[in-house]
Amino acid sequence: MTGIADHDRFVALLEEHKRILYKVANAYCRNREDRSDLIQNTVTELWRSFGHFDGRNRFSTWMYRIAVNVAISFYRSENRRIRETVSIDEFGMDLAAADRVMEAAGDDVRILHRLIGQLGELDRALIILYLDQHSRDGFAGIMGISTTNVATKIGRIKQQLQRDHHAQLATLRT
Amino acid sequence: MTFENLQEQWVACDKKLDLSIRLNTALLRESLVSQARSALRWLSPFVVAELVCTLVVVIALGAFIASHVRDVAFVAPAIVLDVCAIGLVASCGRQLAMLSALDFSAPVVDVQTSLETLRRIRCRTTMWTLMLVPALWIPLLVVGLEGVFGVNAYSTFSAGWLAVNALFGLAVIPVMVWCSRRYADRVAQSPFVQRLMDDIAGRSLTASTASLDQLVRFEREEALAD
Repeated sequence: MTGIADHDRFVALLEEHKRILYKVANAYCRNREDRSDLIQNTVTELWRSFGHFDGRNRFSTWMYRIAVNVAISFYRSENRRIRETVSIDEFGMDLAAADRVMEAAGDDVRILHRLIGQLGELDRALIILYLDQHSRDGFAGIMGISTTNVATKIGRIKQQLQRDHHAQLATLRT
Repeated sequence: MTFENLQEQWVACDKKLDLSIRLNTALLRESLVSQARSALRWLSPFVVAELVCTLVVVIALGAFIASHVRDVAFVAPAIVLDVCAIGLVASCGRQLAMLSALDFSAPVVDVQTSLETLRRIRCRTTMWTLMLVPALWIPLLVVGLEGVFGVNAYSTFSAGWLAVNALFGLAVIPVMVWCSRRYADRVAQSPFVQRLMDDIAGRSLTASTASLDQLVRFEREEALAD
């Protein structure tokens, strides 16, 4: 019974925070196949670690830590081209609908998304957390750096993204 | 347009994402039960297999040394091989300890530092193993022939032949490194072969060191932007 209750609780929490899976995968993977693989690996790691989730942090904070760690490892790993045998559709998440939302989001969000994809893996994680409106303490805890360091890095990344966004928008409109 | 405007649009897109993503909870529940394998955990069984095989070699070499303890001509190469095998056992043990301690729910910088350190250990181990095999092939021949077939390599082959081959083995190492650096891109057909050649050439170790440096810089406080 304990096992079934854990499954139910895990699935319910995942359902509540499912967009974290997609957002992190979208920031680190260019194509849908890689996003599928990454989401599968993330859910597997989340389930593996679920027994140690003690509720001291919010589930979304805990989930972000694991999702970002898996994404960065996946991004750096030579094994990211190895395909798992279970397809993402069997695994239970429909990415096509989410991809359509991103495609219909407008030039500003699409350009921003592209620019985020050009950042280093660690800066990418910071800016996703910032855009998701986590507190500085929250994402300093996720990343494992000081709050001051977070503030200065976010300031730098925002300036860079804003500058590059203007440049790309100007190119698009000429 | 300010960054804050971009953030507002991002958040609005986020809300639509939340509505659009469908999670089939029944299928998800089933997949949890079937314990889906994570691509990130592929290393553990591989390291365990490596450890078990190397332990068998250490034990076999120990038995060989004990049975030839009065014969320096056989004990010396066996000890050299045993020291290398014990080094490999120690490396596997350290890797397994790091793998079992790996916790993806820990802060990102800590986890990535652990992973890169692990990768560095693997790169070094692979590099040294691949480079030492040609240098150790004569000790392997001497111990292998005597231990497995009861054939005395010193009687079968001349001292000159053994010496030349030992030197040849040593000379192969820089050639191997040079070839890996020069021809890896042309020859490698698979990621596995590519990785081996990167390990021999030291590129994997260099990449891993660069990643660790990047993590250290990321953790360091930046000067406040103007």
